Amino acid sequence: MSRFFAQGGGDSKDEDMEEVIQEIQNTDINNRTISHLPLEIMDHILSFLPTKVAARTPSLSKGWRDVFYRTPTLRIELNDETRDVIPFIRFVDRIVAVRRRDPTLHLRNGLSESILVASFLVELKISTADEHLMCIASNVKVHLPNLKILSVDMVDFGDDGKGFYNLLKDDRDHRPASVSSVTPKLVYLNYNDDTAANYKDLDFASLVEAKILLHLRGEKDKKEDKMEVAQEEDASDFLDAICNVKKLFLHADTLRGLTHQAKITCGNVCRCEGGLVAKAYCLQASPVKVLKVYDFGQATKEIDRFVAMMNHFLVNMAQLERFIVYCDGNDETRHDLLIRIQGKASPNCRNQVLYKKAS
Amino acid sequence: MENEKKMITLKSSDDVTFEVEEAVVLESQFLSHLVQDCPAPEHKIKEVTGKILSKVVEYCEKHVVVVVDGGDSSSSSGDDLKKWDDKFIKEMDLSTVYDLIAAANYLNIQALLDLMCQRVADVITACKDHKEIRETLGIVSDYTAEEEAEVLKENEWAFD
Repeated sequence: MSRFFAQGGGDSKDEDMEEVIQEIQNTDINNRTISHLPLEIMDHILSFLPTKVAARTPSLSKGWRDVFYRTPTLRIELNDETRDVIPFIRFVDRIVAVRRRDPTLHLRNGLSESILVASFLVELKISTADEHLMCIASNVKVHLPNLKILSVDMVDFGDDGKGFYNLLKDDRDHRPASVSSVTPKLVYLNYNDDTAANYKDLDFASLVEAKILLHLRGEKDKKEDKMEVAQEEDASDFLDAICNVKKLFLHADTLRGLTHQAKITCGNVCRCEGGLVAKAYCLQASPVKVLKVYDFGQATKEIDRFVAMMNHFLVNMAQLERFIVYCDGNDETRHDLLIRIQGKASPNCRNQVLYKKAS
Repeated sequence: MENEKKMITLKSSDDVTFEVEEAVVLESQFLSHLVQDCPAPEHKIKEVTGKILSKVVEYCEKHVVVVVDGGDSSSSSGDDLKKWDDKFIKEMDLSTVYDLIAAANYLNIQALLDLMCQRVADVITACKDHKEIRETLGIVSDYTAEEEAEVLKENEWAFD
C-alpha cells in the first residue's frame, strides 16, 4: 500500500501527536471493509443488484440480516420461470414483516393481504392467473400510500370483480364511500383484465399514464345479456375516471366496451352529451396528449363504429399531440383507416396507423 | 483574463496537496459550497487521504472536460468516458473502492459514488452463492449453524 509523506514539517509536539492520531486513523481507514460503510451506502450498493442477488445478502452475517429488507428501493420480482412460488411467498412475508416491524405477521394463502397493506410499496406488478399467488377479493383491505406504478394482468378479483376497485381505493382513513381517493401517488396504471365493478366515484388525481385492456366478460362467460349491461357502465365510468391522464393507451377491445354506451349516434361515448356528467369531466377537458389504440385489426367487422368513435376522440381531445393506431389488418384496411381519421384532430396532432400490435 | 482559469489547492488529511482548476472542484457539491463560502486558496480535507484524494481528483478532472468543452474534438465522448471509467475501476482493489465510496459520499460526488457502488455490486453479482460473497468481501459470518439454516430457508427463493 502506498504511503504519502507530509509536506509540511511537524515541529511542535502537539503536531507530532496529531500525526500519530492521524496515522492510527489512516490505518483504520486503510483496512476498511464493506461492513464499515454507512447504512445508506449499503442500501445504495444493493440498489444496483438484481433483487435475487441482493436477497442473498441477509445470509452473509447478522449485520446484513435486515439491510436488504429495509432498502428504500426494494424491488420484488417473481420470474415467470419460477417453478415453486411458495419460497417466494415466504420471502415476501419476511420483507413485509421486517418493514412493518411486525414479526407476528402470518399469512394464509399467498401474497394478497400482506402485500396490499405494505405501505412502502412503490411499484406493484401482478401478472398471473395463478390463484395460489394472489386473489384480491372484495373484502381485502388495501393501503398503498406510496404506490406509483400499478400493473395488473389477469388477476383474480373475485366473482364480482370488486377487488380491483378495492385495489385502487386507499382504505386507511375509512372515508365515506362517496369520496374515494385513489391510492394517492399513483402515476402509472397498466390494466389488462375483465371489466370490473363501478368506478364512478374514483378520483385518479395523480395518474399521468394509463394503459387499458378491458376484456368483455360476456365473451368468456357466454352470459352475454347479463354481462353487457354491466359492460355499459363499467367501461365508460372507468374512462371518465382516468380522463385526466396525459398518455392514454387503449386496446381495441376496450373501445368495443365503449360502443355499448353509444346511443343513436355511433361513437357517442362522451357522457356529457347525454347530460350525465358535468362538462369539466368530458373529453374536451381531458389533458390527454398521447392516445394509442392497440389490436385494431381484430375489430374490423365493426370498423364504422370504431372509426366514428375514434373520430369522436380526435375531434374532442383538444390537447392531443399524437394519435397512433396499431392495426394488424391488411394494407388496404390501414390505408382506409388513416384516410378516415385524417383531418379530424387538431392541427397539432400527428396521426399514425402502424402495422402490428405492440404491447 | 477570460482564459485564465482559477486554480484551487486541495490538501489531504496527510497533507498531500493537489492544485486543480476550479471547474474540477465544482464536480463535488461539498467542495463547491466550501469554495463559495470560504474563498481561501487552499482547502484541507481532513476526511480523505492523499492516496484517495488523488483518485478523486483524477476522476473529476477526466469528467469535467466533457462538460466544459462540449462537442470539442479533443474532449472525451460518452463512449470513451465509459471506457475510461471501466478501466479506472478495474485497476482498483476493493479496499480502495470502499475508501473512494466513503470519500465520494463525503464530498458529495454522485457519479463517482454510483460508479464505485456499481463496482461492488458487480463483484457481488459475480459470486455464485453467499459463501463466495463472504470470501470475496471478507465478511466473517457470526451466525450459528441453526441461525444460518433459518435465514437460508427464508431466502430460499434467492438461491433457486
